[in-house]
Amino acid sequence: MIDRLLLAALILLPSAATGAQQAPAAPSPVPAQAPRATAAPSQVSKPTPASTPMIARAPLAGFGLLSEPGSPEWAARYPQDPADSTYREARSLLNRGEWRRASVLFGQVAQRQPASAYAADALYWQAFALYRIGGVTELREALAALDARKSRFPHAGNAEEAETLTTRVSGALAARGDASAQSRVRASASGAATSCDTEELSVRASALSVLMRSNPDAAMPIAIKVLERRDECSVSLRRNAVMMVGNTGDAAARAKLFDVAKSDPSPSVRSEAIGYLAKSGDEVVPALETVIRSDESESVQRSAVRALGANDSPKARAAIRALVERSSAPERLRLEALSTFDRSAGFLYSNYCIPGEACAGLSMTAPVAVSGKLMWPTPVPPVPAVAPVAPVTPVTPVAPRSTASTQAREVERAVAAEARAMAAEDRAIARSSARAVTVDGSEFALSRWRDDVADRRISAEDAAWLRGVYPRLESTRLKSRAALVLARADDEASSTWLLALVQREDEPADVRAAILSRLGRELPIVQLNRLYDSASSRTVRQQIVQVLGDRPEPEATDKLIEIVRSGTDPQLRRAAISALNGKKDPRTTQLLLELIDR
Amino acid sequence: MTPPSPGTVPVSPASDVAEPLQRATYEYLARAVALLDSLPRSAQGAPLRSDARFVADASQLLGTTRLLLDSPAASDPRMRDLLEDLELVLAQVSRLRTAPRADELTFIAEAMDERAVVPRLRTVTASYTASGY
Repeated sequence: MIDRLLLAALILLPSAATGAQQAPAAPSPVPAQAPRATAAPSQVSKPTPASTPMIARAPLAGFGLLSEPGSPEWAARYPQDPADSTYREARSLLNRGEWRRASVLFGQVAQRQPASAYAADALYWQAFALYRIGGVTELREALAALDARKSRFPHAGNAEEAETLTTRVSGALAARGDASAQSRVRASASGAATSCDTEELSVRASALSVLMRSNPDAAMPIAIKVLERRDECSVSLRRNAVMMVGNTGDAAARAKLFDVAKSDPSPSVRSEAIGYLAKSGDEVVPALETVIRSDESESVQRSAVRALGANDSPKARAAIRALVERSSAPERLRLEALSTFDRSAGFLYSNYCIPGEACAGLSMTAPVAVSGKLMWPTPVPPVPAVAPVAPVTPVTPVAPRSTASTQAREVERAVAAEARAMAAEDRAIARSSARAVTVDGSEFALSRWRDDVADRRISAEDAAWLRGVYPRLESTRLKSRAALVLARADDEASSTWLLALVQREDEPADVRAAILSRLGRELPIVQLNRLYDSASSRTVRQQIVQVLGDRPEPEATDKLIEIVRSGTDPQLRRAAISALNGKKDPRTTQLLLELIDR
Repeated sequence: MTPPSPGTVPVSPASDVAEPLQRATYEYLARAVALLDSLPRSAQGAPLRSDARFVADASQLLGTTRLLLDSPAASDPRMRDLLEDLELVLAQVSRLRTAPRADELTFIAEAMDERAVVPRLRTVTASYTASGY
């Protein structure tokens, strides 16, 4: 009891901790039918180390709950509950994953303190802990606990969740060959085909999910029936069923999804179904094209474009190219189609970058001296379909560097560079990614990194086609997207073409800036300086300043200092100061002092 | 039991799992982050008892967690661990609907801390976001 008061006082008033020992204990009329807990003192009377954070989390006590320790409501609801300490200890054990010990203590609450306000909850959590242990004996004990909860506390709250847990426990038993559990789950899942009660549906969906895992043959007809429903109340259930059916990948399932994609009244269900049709080869291409042309929902149309883009069949590739070129198609769909040519964006992070303290040193301001392409053998460049205007200044090829002994570090830098480049495209993505950058430098990871990223970039053939289409793209957004996809291409022809494009004053500044954001890190500084001097667009110049700010070479700093000292555009000078600020070069301080003293 | 470290536990969205399932997983994880993030903020905000939507969202997420646990998304053991930890946390949050007590929030906070749930969620959602989902 002292524990409870002490904790309550500490939760409500941390500053009162020292005086808590003197907190008067209220009379404790223990209900006659509730014998006191007899667990060992070490189990029930002392806060465990894990309970320490409870005290540190005092602000949570003001959450606006129905009752708080010490309040009249609390006292009315939990009048000196003798199971209090045991229950708390059990919950802490549960949170620490000590399932066995937690289940024992919850069992003690339910058995020894049957009148406790915690008894119903204790039975639920006892079942939960036993379910996590997962042996046949424990699962049967879990079912017994849940059955006891239902019979002893028929009006206890959270009955639906207890029912769902019962289904899951039954599913686990069914998977271990328990016939009666199998029937129980099947009966519960069958209700999914007809019910419209939200809570009931949630239980049914869980049952169907469990059955799909333990007995797909029995589950599939029920899932198909669910997919035949058209009512609004079952949308969520139908989406779940699409996921379950889609993951089986068999022909009958695909046929059903095909039907759902065309005829389900809910756009979200249609989109979900379309997603699972992506890998279905040539046969789905006409249907996806029909959806793109005629579905009333843009989100469904975009799903179809993504599905088409993820389909590697020649017919799908031709269809996606045709969409990019079709000027009468909505721009958003064409942008989506362009994006499907490059699936490498951010792929690096998802597979090789592990967030956490280890990558704290890598950020968007990290030096980016290494090309993201340096790990690849140079492919044979294809001939561009349509050659752009020749570059104004000679293009200096970027010499690839490769040092086996520093591979891991170089990949790390390449990833940082990728994060930096992404910043120009989507700062929100870049921020979350850059925080997450670090690399497993093992040979295995490096090998996978090369293969996976190469597989996901635009192919040389598609790149040649896209370079040819570029002049016919009508808007700056389409051109920028095409340029960015090409900038990720791993071929010399695209690099040369893009560098020529950057120097063309008749091209939109936004497109040129986008290209520079990606290719700028590979260009020699002297060439960047030349581009800066010849550019008439502030947008392009700002991008070059940003690139120079990222480059570690002293020549980059020299150019920025020159811009600050002798530039005529105040905005660019400010940008250069900001870029210098990130370099921690002693000359920056000197320069700033000079500017202040002027 | 040693809590997983968010800094050393990569959970990759790119595996043999079908792309739509990856997308659904990402959407689910993003919603879970948003929900769990709003839990401490609510301490100074609106009373929980009037926020039936919050608890309803937690219940819905709990259902999705279990759906994903039964799907190929859980074939990656690290993802499975995360989903199981989320199941424990969300089961506690969804039970706030009836007679929540102050210490319930403490238990939930403790569960999240013990299993580093939110940092791990952020790790995975950052990965998915960067993957273009």
